[in-house]
This record gives sequence, C-alpha cells and structure tokens, in this order.
Amino acid sequence: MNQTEISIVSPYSRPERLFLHYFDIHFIEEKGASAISSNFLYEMRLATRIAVASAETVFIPAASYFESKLCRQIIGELNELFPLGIIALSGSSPNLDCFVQERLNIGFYRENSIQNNAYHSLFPQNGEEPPYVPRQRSATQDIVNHWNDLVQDNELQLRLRDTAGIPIPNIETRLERVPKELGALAFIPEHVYEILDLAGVEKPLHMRIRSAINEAYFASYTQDLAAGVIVDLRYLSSSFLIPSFGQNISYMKMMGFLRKNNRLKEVENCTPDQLVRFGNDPNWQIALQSAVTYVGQPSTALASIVSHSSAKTFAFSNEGNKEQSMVQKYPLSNDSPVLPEQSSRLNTVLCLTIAAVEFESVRSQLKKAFGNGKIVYLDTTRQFYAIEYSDPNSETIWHLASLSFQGETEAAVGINRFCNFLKPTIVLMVGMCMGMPKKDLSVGTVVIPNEIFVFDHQRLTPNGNQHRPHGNRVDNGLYNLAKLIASESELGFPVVVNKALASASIKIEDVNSALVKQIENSFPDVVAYDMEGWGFYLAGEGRHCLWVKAVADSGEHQSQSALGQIEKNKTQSSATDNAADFAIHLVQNFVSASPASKT
Amino acid sequence: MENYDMIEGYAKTKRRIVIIGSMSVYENMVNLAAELNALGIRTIVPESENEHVRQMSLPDFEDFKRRVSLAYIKKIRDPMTFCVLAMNLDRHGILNYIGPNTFAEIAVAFAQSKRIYLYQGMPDAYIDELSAWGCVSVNGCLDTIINDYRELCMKEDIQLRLFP
Repeated sequence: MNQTEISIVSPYSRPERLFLHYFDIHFIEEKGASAISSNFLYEMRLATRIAVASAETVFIPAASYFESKLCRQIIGELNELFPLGIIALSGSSPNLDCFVQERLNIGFYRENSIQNNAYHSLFPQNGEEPPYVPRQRSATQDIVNHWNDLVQDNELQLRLRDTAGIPIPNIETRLERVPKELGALAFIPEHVYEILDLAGVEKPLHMRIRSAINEAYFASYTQDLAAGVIVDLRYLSSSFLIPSFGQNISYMKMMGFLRKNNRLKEVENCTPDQLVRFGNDPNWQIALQSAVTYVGQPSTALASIVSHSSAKTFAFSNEGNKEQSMVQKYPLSNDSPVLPEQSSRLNTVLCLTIAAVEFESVRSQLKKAFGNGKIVYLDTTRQFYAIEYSDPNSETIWHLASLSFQGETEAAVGINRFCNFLKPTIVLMVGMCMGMPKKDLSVGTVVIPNEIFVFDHQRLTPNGNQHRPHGNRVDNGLYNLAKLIASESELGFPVVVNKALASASIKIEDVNSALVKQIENSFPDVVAYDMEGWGFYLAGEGRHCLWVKAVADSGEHQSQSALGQIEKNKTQSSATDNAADFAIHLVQNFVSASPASKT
Repeated sequence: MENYDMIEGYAKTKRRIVIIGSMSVYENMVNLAAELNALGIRTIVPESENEHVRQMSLPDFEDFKRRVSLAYIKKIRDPMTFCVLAMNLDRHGILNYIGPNTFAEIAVAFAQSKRIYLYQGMPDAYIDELSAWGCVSVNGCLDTIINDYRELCMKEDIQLRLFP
C-alpha cells in the first residue's frame, strides 16, 4: 500500500471550547507599553491561530471584540471561519444589539471613556461580526461576589498591604463600599480606582486590584462556557492563574512542536481554511495530546448553553472527514437561543407585585392594554416564571412576576434575582399601599414618593420598642418623568408625587399603633406606607426603577367576614388598577421621550 | 543593552544596575530602566527577541538561549555591576513571582556579593533564601535603590563648574 493512501483516524478529540482571555482591554492594560511591542502582538496572533487550529469553538468576550482594536484585527483575519461558528462572541446580553446598546449607556461606561467611544464608533454593527452566544451568568454579579468574598476573607486587604509595604488606613471600609458605590457602572478597574482614590500613576497596588477583577471576570466566562484557556504564554502571561473549566492548551508546548518541525511559518501565514486543515494533521493532534490539560468540571450552567445552542455548536465528529464535520457546524443563522424569548427590541420592563390581588389586577390591566400574555421561564433551572406581554407600539416587552412573601428583605432579594435574569430596562413595583390615616388620601390615589423612610431597625428597651428609621431620596429619572405626567387630567385618578413613603416589614391593622403615631408625629411628609418600598429601591439602585402604588386603605382593622373580604378585595383591585394604568402610561412616555433640541 | 542620561550635580560612574526578570515582564523592565536612566543611573536590560529569533529552529533557538543566558550572567558578575534589580511582578497566581531563571540569576548575584533588590515583596516560596541573602524589597518605590546607588556610586559634584 502506498503510504499516502493510509487513512489515519485519530482517536483523539479536540478540546471543545477555548476561551481567549488575552484580548480583554484591562488584561492588555496590565501589560503597559509591552502591549504595543512586536513580541506581544506576535504572541497574541499566534496563540489565536493555535487556538483556532486546535479547538472546536473559540470564544471571545463580545466586549473584547468591540473594545479592542487588536482583537478585531487578529480575529478579522479569520473572518472566513465566522459562518462555520469556529469563532464565536459571547456576552451576558440576549443578543448583540442589546449588548452594544447597554454599553452605549453612559450609566455603564462613562461618556468619552475608551469603551464608550469604541461602541459609538462601531455602532451600528456592520453584520460582519462572529456569531454571538448569550451567556447565562452575569459577569458583573460574579465579579461582585468574588470581590465581596476576597474582602470578607481579608484576602484583598492582605494583597494590597503586601504590595504597599505598610498598612493602608481604612482599607476594609473603602473596599467594602466599592460594589455599592459603583451602582450600575461597569465593575472595571478604572471605576474602582476612582472610588478608592487611586487614580494616577500605575503602581503594583493597581495591578493587584485589576487582577482581582480580571480573575473573576474570566472565571465567569470559562465557568459558564465550560471552556479551557491557552496557558504557558510568555509575553501574554498573567499575574494570576487564568481560571479554567475545560481543556487548556499549552502555548509553549505547541510552539515547541512547530519549531521542532519547522512549521512555524506555515501557521503564521496560512489562510483560515488552511489553518483548519492544519488542525486536522495527525501530527498536530498527537502534539496536542501532550499539550492539553483538563482542569475543573463543566458547570451545570453549561448544560443549558449547549442544549440551547446545539444547532450551532460542537458537532465535530471523529468519524469520517474533518473538513465535512467543520462545515456541518454552525448554521448561518444569527438567531440567538435565549431564555425567555427575546428579540432585538430594546426596552424590557420588569413589573413586580406581591399580593395575589395585586398580581391579578396588574395582569388584567396589561392584558387589556397588550392582549394575552404568555408564561415564560426566566432561568435554565426553571425556578422563576413570569407572564410576558408585548407592546408593539412602544417596542416594549413587559414581564409580570410576583414575589412569594411580603417584607423588605424578600423584596430586595427577589427583585435582585429577577433583575439578574432579565436585565430589564425598567423595574417597577406596582400595587396597593396604605394611606396615612391623617392624610385622608382617597382610595385609588396613586402615590409616587420622592423620599422613603424605613422603620425596620428597632431597639427593644425597658421603656418599650424604639424605631430607628433611615431615610433616602428616591427622586430618580423615572420619578422626574412621573412628576411630569402626573398632572394629566385624562388619567382619571389623583396622583401624589411630592410626598414621602414609610416602609417596614410590619403589617399595620391599627391606626392607633405606636408606629403610625411616630410616623405621623415625626415625619409629616409621609403620606403612604407599605412593606416593600425600601427593599425595592435598595435592589433597584442604579436602575430605572419606580414604586407605583395606590392607596387601598388607611390602616384600619380588616374585616374578617366573607362579605368584608370581598369588599376589601374589590377596593384593593380597583386601587391597583389605577397604579397599573399609571405604570403603563409612564413606560410609554419613557420610550417615546426624545432628546432635548439643541440650539 | 546599556543606557543612562547625564544628570548635573552627580559625578559620572560606570557602575550599573542589571535588571533581571522573565520575558513576560520585559517591557516593565525596559520602563524601569528608562526611569532610572533619566536619573543618570546606568542600567542593563536583556536584549529583546526579534523576528529573526522567533523564526529560529529548535536547536538554533536553544543555542541562542544558552548564549544569551551565559552573557547575562557574565554581566551580573562583572565588577561594574552595582546590584541586580529583579522585576518580580505577580505571575501565574503567585504574588511577587520569581521564576527559575530569575532565581538562578539572583543566586549568581549573591555568590558575587552583589546587592539584590526586588521590585515587589518576597515570594513565600523563597522567603528564607532571599531574606538570608539580604535581598531588599522596594515595593514598587525606587527611592531606596536610587539613594543607595547615589550614595555608594555617585559622589555629589559640589564644586561649582567654571564652564558648565
């Protein structure tokens, strides 16, 4: 038999997913001036080519693609492979449009920042980007969790002290407040430096902070995608171990193979399709076996990604011809498999209710306005559900959901979870509340507070319970909009917009209770009371959020009779209808509002 | 690669600081050298790998590495070398990382009774050795090394010059 006729079928399967971390601009930033050196660029390009030749799918954070010119340049050379899905972008937004839109918001990246300018200059996209795969995890949330863990374990403080050589005054407090002070801003090093008053000359201190953030950011991706990474990089080596949840490939070992076989130039200069063929070379695959390490276990989150993107991904078969299997990979469609149903529409509203009567009323008003809704699940484990309504006129999707229990903590935790899944443009809490007895607000009056006081903090003393209230302004953007439309006569119900709300995880059924008296005596601006307002604004901080409730009672003792209950339900339902109507009107105005004319 | 700028008020000296570290922090070494050069302090940093080196075959590449390593060790041992400064940035998840090559160069410097400075702190793995060898951590601040160099290598030129 002629040697060329021998068919070698390697039993070895390629690493399925590789995540390329080194295009991240904060990772590049760590390299300082070396980021423009020829050695750095050479290694970046070659590592990418080795990854593409080796793995089934190479993932790049969508942020890196848009924010790093180097990334677009190096990945752009391989654009012939985009339709095959060998290279894919990934991000936490449902699709690429949403991803870019979110980052154009100056509440996320500061105006004229490198990132903000990058998205502006590249928007709208030209459709030549690699396919996009949405993620299930929120990188920001993962970074916050990692940051909090490091601070709680005193690990970050120790790292910073070590590099400073001396104790840093108040470092614990300063680090602890970072996630809260960031609000909706991206959790990126430059924003954190501002909060820690570290803006200025780059020092090892900066590097340690950046590493803590980058490590969590990369872990969020590799865990979600169950991906490995390229390791043993020289000029691109990292200050921390790149977290991996898949098979890693050693850059140095593959370089060794290429040098030994005098094939380095071939990989450097070949066309994209030749690169894929190169990866099928049995010698390359044998070399890969010694250059691959398996680290960690795929997370459960991956299962959903794989199952929902099965049409697009990972169809490499060892049987038969490799070229065929590569072509059989991703279809050309740009549709992104997402949960729940998403589209390119930009506005999503999360509307939360607590009591059953509130949920029924809001559901009824949304149905009246937008037609039948459909039930959708929000997470891959199907723990969270909502009813989805579509408003074609304002291109808005509403998600109506309900919390299981009353109270501030329940509200804060529940809303946070829903927000993580949905990433809504607007968050609303709609329902009914208690009007303060002495304020005589009529039933059905919609209240939009400009400040809020919480009375959960108590002291049990020999002289009785003492409430220690805390207060905060809540006159955010949506409040300002609500104020403008509150006076419209066609609303059909009164709206109070310039008064305060009191909130506590305590149900009031006695107008003479000590709490009611204290509120009336010490907080004359409070006109309404509820059990979730504070938790709602706490969780919604940094988002477009608004508490919209209508007065359903004044704290009187509730009737226990069947007739009394029916009557109460009617009143509560009617009040909630007003709040829901106002919320719908508000969202429509939010969407239709245009920027001010400039002279 | 040796560089320095002349600074008025300090006498010329041929003594120099050899900067050591892995190629992964090469540009950091170059920047550090530039910072010291601007203060009139002579420095030596390794030669960068150029296109020619990248294209070498494995035997040629290994031969090149061998020659370069030997040449650099000679520079460390040279009487003109005042000290070595190790650029030990965090790497691979190890704080104040010192790789095997850098550790070997530090050992050579110690054997030659050279002063040893670490740009960051001491890595836990080598803390006993580095401490015993009298290594000094500068924690990102070059003041200590600059003062030592000036005090021991540069005599201040306090005499007014007639023709500056």
